[in-house]
Amino acid sequence: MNKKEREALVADFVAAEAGSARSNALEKELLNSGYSAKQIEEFRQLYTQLGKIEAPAPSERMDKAFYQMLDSHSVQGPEQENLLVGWARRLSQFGWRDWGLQIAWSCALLFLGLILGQRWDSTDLQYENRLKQMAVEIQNVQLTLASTLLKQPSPVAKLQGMAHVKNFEEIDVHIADVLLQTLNKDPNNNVRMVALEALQKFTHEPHVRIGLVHSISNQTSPAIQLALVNIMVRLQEKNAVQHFQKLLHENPVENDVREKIEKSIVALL
Amino acid sequence: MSNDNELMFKVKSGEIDKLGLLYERYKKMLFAYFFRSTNDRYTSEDLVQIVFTKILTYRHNFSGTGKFTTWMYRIAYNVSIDHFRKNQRYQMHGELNEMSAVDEQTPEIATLQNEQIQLLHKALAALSHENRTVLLLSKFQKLKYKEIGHILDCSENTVKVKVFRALSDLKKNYNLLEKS
Repeated sequence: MNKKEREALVADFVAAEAGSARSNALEKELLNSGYSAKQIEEFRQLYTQLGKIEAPAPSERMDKAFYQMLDSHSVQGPEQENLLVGWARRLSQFGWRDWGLQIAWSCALLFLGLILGQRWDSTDLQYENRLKQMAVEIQNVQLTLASTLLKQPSPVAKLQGMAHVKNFEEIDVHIADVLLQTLNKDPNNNVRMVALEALQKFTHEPHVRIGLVHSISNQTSPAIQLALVNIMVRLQEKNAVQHFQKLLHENPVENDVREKIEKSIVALL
Repeated sequence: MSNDNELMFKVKSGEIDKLGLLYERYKKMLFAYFFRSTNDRYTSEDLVQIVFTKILTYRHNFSGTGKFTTWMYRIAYNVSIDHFRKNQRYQMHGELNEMSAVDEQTPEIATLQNEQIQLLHKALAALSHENRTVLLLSKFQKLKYKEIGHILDCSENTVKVKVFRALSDLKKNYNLLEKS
């Protein structure tokens, strides 16, 4: 037996279950190849002791970073389709209605600019008032635009609408309702996930918070289920417990997600 | 429950959310793999994140001919090589005296009550990257030598020899630390 074969034998020995027939046979072979009983025992002990080196559990920071990364990729959607097919699909989705909305948005801004230009006043107070008025008017236009886009059947339009919502400081009840409805009923998982992402910013609003809690039992996508678990744990929303229990009882839930939900229920109780 | 390869094929075909299930299955194992190697919680969490980002980026390369875990650990191994190359201060092979610097960064080690285990952890961290990897993959991740061979791109016998040499070095490091 050459040197490398003897070394390989040690590796086999330490990996074999102690006391097993294989382990005993390997031990005999090692003794015959020139290792002392003491050396063999040292290798065994060292390898066993190694197993006692513990590692802590990862923190929620890691989960958060992962799901943010996953969300950002999910929004982009599948990338596998042929380039030509992809462009054809995008062109078919980008209908006249979308063009109309873009043009309407541009016209609205132009109109606003013209009005402001005509009414420009040199006094500071009036200038500030005009600015405030302009901000309100822009916000109203954005609200109308977001609301219109969110109601479109096209996922692209909905995603555009949600991108507008993410820029809002406060959320309108009507917009929140549309987003919650999207979260509960939209057939596209990516769209539902982005709706959840948009709503996350406004969980300080009781209306949004209650809506999210009630949406738990409607979700079938594991990614959305997990995202809701993380949100509810972060918010320490105890009302979510009964909805998670309902989800576990009434819907098929992947085992890993089930385990996470069960742990979260314990954390929320 | 879907097996790993089925889930990874779904990820490959565009069902990106299925990666969440694979993440939930393996996040702790991967984190422990990196933690035992780096001795640092935040670095280990970042490295897990990098592994899953790479899985997503290179999902089209997953062929399914082997186990998903083998593919995943191959990525993890490459990520750790990059990490240790960029952070040479972690390369403590033959420089056991520098281990005290690691202690300051890792309050987790303080929770390990047994002094011998602490010494062994230090001795493990002081191994060369490849020696440490074969021990981590065989002892803690319970991978067979053949699978480790696929990850390190070498034969099963070469892995066995590496395990032996890693154990010998570990013993030397441990004895040195014990004497000091």
